[in-house]
Amino acid sequence: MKKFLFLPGGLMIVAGLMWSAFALAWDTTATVLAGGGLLALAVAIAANWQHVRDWFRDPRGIFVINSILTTMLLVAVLGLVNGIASFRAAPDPRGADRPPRGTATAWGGLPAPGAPVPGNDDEPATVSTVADPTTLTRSTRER
Amino acid sequence: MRHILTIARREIESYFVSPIAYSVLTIFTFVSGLFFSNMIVYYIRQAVVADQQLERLGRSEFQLDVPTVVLQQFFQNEAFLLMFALPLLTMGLITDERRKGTLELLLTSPIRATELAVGKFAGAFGFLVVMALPLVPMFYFLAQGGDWEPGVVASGLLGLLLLGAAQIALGLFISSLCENILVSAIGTYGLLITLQFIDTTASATRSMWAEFLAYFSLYMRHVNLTRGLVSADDVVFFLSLVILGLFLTQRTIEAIRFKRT
Repeated sequence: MKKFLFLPGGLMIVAGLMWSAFALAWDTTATVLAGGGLLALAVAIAANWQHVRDWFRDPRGIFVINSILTTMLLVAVLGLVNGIASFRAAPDPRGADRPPRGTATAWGGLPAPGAPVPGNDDEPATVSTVADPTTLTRSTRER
Repeated sequence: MRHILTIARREIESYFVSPIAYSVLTIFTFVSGLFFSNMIVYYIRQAVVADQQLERLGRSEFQLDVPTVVLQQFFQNEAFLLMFALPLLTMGLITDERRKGTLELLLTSPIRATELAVGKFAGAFGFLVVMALPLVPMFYFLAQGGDWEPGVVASGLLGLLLLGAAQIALGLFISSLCENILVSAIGTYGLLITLQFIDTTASATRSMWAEFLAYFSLYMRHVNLTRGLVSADDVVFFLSLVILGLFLTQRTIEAIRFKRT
């Protein structure tokens, strides 16, 4: 029965993580949930200390610990590689309308706003004095 | 390596005797063609309007490079389609073996868990390549219509394959966790949709945690590749997801093997 004490702690930590993901910040609720969960887990471990010790000596426990450690190591290595790749690439905010520095452009880069488009042989755009451009622009948008 | 190739070949062959794979292939190609033709018609109309505006007023509010814009939009739509198509292919990769009882045979054979995971992944990835093949005539059609950028096509296809590979690896991991095909599909949809749109909620705020979450957005990673920008960090990100998915699958298979011995 005492082993079920692990459940509320685990659930509270998961709830805290999910709350922070939805709230997009580690606010008080998320911190209280995660902190409370960790505390509940600590209490559960203390209450089941003999079982926990046996479990760690058990091949299943060794397998789980081994898996957790190797996964953490892999995530750390991947994080490091990604960090290096990001650091070497763009300082620009992601999704900006210009190619980041240090980025290979497969098609020679995006044209700057207002610049002539390659392959378009029309005359450069000038401000018209004949008609009211605002009116036509609005009607074009409506289309 | 021999085991990996055998498993991959067997997986691809099993796709082609399954109605799901044919349905996915048919619907994916049909909807891709529909998107492609609709986008061409739409952007050509826009370009004509822009040209008329330029002719009459001497200025135009927007300038369109139709092939480039069509390609960019097309690859973004394809990414969206893949998100719905690939879980249907990955849902049974390991789950189906469990359901049929053939996983026991695989686990007791001299095949290593890594070989099984990589072989399954390679089979599904091979099918993704088959799915991408019908797109090639569309680019040929686009090339007939005027100036186009082969680099954008190559980058877009690379992006599609990288995104698909990451989605397959994650789907494979979810499949290894589930004993029911439907649960596997729903789990994969949940994970992929979360990763695809995580940036939309994260963009609402500027906190460090929000930026950290946005870092995992598949959409933001893929969008540069649709523009023809092959950035090292995006490629590394997708490859990292593949490696992580395969590693977690390998650990899950080892855990199943461990439980049964």
